[in-house]
Amino acid sequence: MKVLVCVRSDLPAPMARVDNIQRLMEEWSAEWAGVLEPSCRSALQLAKDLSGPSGGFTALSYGRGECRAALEVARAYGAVDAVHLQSAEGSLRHDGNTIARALAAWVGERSFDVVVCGNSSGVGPVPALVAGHLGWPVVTRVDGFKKFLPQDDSFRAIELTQRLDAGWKRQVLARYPVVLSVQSGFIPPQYVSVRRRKEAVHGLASNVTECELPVWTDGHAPAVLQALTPPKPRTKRTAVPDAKSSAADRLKSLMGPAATKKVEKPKEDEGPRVVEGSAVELAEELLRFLRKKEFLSNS
Amino acid sequence: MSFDGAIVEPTVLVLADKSAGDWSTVTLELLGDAELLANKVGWTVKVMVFAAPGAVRDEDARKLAAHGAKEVHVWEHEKFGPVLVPAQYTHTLRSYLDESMPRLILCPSTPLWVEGVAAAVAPYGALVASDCVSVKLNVRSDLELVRNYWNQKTHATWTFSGQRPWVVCLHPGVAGVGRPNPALSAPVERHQAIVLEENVETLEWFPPHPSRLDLVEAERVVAGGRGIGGPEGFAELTQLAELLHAAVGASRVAVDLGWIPYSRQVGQTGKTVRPRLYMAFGISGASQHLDGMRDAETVVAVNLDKEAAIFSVAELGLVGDARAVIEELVRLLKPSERAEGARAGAAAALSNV
Ligand SMILES: Cc1cc2nc3c(=O)[nH]c(=O)nc-3n(C[C@H](O)[C@H](O)[C@H](O)COP(=O)(O)OP(=O)(O)OC[C@H]3O[C@@H](n4cnc5c(N)ncnc54)[C@H](O)[C@@H]3O)c2cc1C
Repeated sequence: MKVLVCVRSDLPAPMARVDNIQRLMEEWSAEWAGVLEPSCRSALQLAKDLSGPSGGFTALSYGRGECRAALEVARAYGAVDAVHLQSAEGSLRHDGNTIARALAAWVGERSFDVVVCGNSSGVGPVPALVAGHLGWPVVTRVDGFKKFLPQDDSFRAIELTQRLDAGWKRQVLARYPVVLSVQSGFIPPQYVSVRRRKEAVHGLASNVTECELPVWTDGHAPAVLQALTPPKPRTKRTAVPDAKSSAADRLKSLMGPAATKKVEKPKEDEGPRVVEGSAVELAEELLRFLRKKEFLSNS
Repeated sequence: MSFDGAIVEPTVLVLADKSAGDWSTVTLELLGDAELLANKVGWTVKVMVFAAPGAVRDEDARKLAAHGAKEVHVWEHEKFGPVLVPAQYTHTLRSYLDESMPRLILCPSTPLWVEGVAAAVAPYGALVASDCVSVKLNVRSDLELVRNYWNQKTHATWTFSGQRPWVVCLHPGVAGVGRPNPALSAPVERHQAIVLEENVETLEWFPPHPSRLDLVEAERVVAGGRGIGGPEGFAELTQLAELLHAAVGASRVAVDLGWIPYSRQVGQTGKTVRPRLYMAFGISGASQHLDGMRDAETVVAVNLDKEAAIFSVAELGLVGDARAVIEELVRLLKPSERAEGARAGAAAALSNV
């Protein structure tokens, strides 16, 4: 089975601040020693499990120099080939739509059975977009790999477990070719020794296949990144006027669906509401609170 | 099926989620945003629902209309059950898009919705943005969206322009639900969906259990500390979690005492959680614990000590015996509200992550 794993580098956690991210997006310098994005470690482990002890897998990363860190770890995990995709206009760093296009174009010209991607938040669209472009099925949130089915040319498939919503899981039979994605912590990665990591660093220098993609255009405007800013909570709509808000705000809220109010944390000096009573009274108070907050229905 | 500048209709298509009983909060939030955008430029708000036959009644559709839907399209199939499986609706969504390509598709930014929609729209060359916190049209009628970026460390503002379809997946809980207008109504069209799952076949289902529900993704967490007295306390807490459809969390002391596995520890050396509801039973609120849960939207704490630090981050603090309160809650929730609570919880959890 031919397995490709897509990996990417991240900033070390203490450096992940708006100013650093902004600078990193503008230009890459050797000072940005990236680290492997955690879900990609799970992706590497899955790729390793899928390829088995005798098989090797291919690791691919995209972007600029920072992707080196990801490829190094991939080599340490047993990737036999390391591929670095880049595009002339550098757009492969930012926009998931462009990245997915590029990955699909590259994969489409080769004969992989399985493409494994990390997906840190689980809501990254790239794995599904890649699958959609290729016309392949996708299984996201893979939680475990059970077994291969007996291989013959007409039916080649693997059994996987997938996490669904609200704690549900299912066991699926996925036919090749297929795109899989994993979140960090769900395919527990094995420890890679420092020695293997060092060997990977040395081995990588001569062993990365550089692929320059042509500037991709389909005649339509691409997504354009305008700005990076510190996170700011959005002004939230409310259905009912808050008794604590001013008369003007309450009136505004009552006047129409577009009326809004700012989400405010309770003021420091207001403090929490602390209630004393018997267990029954406290439980009833708690249920009233949960209903008021719409965690339980009122009926 | 590729999109080659074919006519894009002046509509916003909202993908509505009713897989857990009632409309998920994010569905109503999406409708609020759709209505604002549509009113600005004269688009029509259409809603698409995938549901088991009979699961969406006319009064359910009226609720969507009250929040801004102008047309409701219900696609029915026995396989569309309480668990969302994206591959099951991809075919139906594509058939719909082949007939009528909306200008904008809005859907919940949860892993399975993003998966299903992204896989379905990719062949049309659509531009997709997930984990968005807001969306608007700028003066040039380009779409301007703000999304969480880089593990939520920054917000990134993007613009989508041009003629291809746009897809925006909205992070649940950020937009808020506006006031409904019950006087509004919308026609409901029912269609028979076709489910094609040729390449990924379900062999077995595993139902949820609070001890398996992922802490980081859970919309509700009930956590216990030394004050719940032992493994029996956690057994009762698990029962409560089941009734509220919450995940079970713990303080480090509870983990160190061997009452619950490490994978359930919340805090500096455990997991960082951001649920909408965090209920702390018998937890003192040491700074290392607070580090892992201070971003919870609503915190409720039960503790014997009136001065416990946990009360400083709680919206509601209850001074009392944690085990006794848990027992009472289980008793009160069990007979009448069990189904209700679980359903509401499932709805919330489905719209989460
Ligand atoms: C480097 C470091 C890292 C750490 N990381 C973490 C971490 O990741 N997560 C974490 O949780 N801690 C962590 N800790 C430990 C932390 O400092 C606290 O010791 C721990 O959180 C306390 O757990 P607790 O609240 O369950 O226990 P305690 O502090 O013993 O508190 C028990 C509470 O229960 C109340 N209580 C007792 N009986 C009852 C009853 N019958 N009903 C109601 N309430 C009752 C008491 O009033 C008290 O407030 C870390 C500490 C260090 C030094």
